[in-house]
Amino acid sequence: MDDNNIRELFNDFNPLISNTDHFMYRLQHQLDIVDIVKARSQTIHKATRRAAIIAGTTGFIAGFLLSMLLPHIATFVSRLNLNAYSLGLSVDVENIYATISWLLIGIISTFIAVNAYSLSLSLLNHSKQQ
Amino acid sequence: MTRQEFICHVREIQEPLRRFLTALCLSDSQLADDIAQEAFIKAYLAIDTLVDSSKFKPWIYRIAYNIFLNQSRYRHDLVSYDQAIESTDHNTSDDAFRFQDLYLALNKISNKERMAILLFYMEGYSIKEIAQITKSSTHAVKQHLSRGRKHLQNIYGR
Repeated sequence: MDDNNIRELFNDFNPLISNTDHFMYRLQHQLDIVDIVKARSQTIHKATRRAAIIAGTTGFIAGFLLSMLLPHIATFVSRLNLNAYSLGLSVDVENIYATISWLLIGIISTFIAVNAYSLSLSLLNHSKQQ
Repeated sequence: MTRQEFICHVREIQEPLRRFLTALCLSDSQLADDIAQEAFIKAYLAIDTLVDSSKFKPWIYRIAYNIFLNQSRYRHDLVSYDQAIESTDHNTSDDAFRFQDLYLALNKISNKERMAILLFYMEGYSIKEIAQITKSSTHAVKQHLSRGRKHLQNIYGR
């Protein structure tokens, strides 16, 4: 048996397949599902990106406004220092009150940003669903 | 490529692909259809990665080949001709009976050899094209073809 014989074997070899219309209908249905999932994931991706931008901006604004209040926060921290002395605690925060103030600003700003992210994400998803 | 264009391409090649997969799955047309469906869906999901639409057909064949290999790794019964015959409907069984000798011969060669033989003799692809589809070297394809031919010669020579 040579190469030509093998070719002859495959000449009229035409395996029977199932109904083409049924196959295409099934495929179209699957593609519809794929399109729905694709659209949904794109919406989620967009909403997440927008929420991240909103959270970043809110956090920045909050941080900026709080840093404007830095002298007041510093006073508040120094009062805490006095209270600590009056209670007999030997905690000396006088030299690090600026650091504590910035730390407070950072924590508050991050808290606001995280909440802004969650809130905007839920609002964006809710509006898309409607 | 839009969905409509994709469907047009699919309509053009679905029949030869399904015939090829049916041969690869030893007349199990149900399994061949499942592999074809999965291949088209995977292609649709990755359609943006296809730069040249003229290479759509070999691209789909490559995806289908990979799915077939993955399935055969997990389903050892995939290459059993007897089970394939049992799982097919009556019309397909008649068809399988017509080509019984060929299916039995194809059943006795490895998946890679069967793939190379079918792509070369049934689909008319060149060795270079088969190498691109199977992501292997032309040397490896030549080897698979040579071994496949020898096996077929031995089976039919008896």
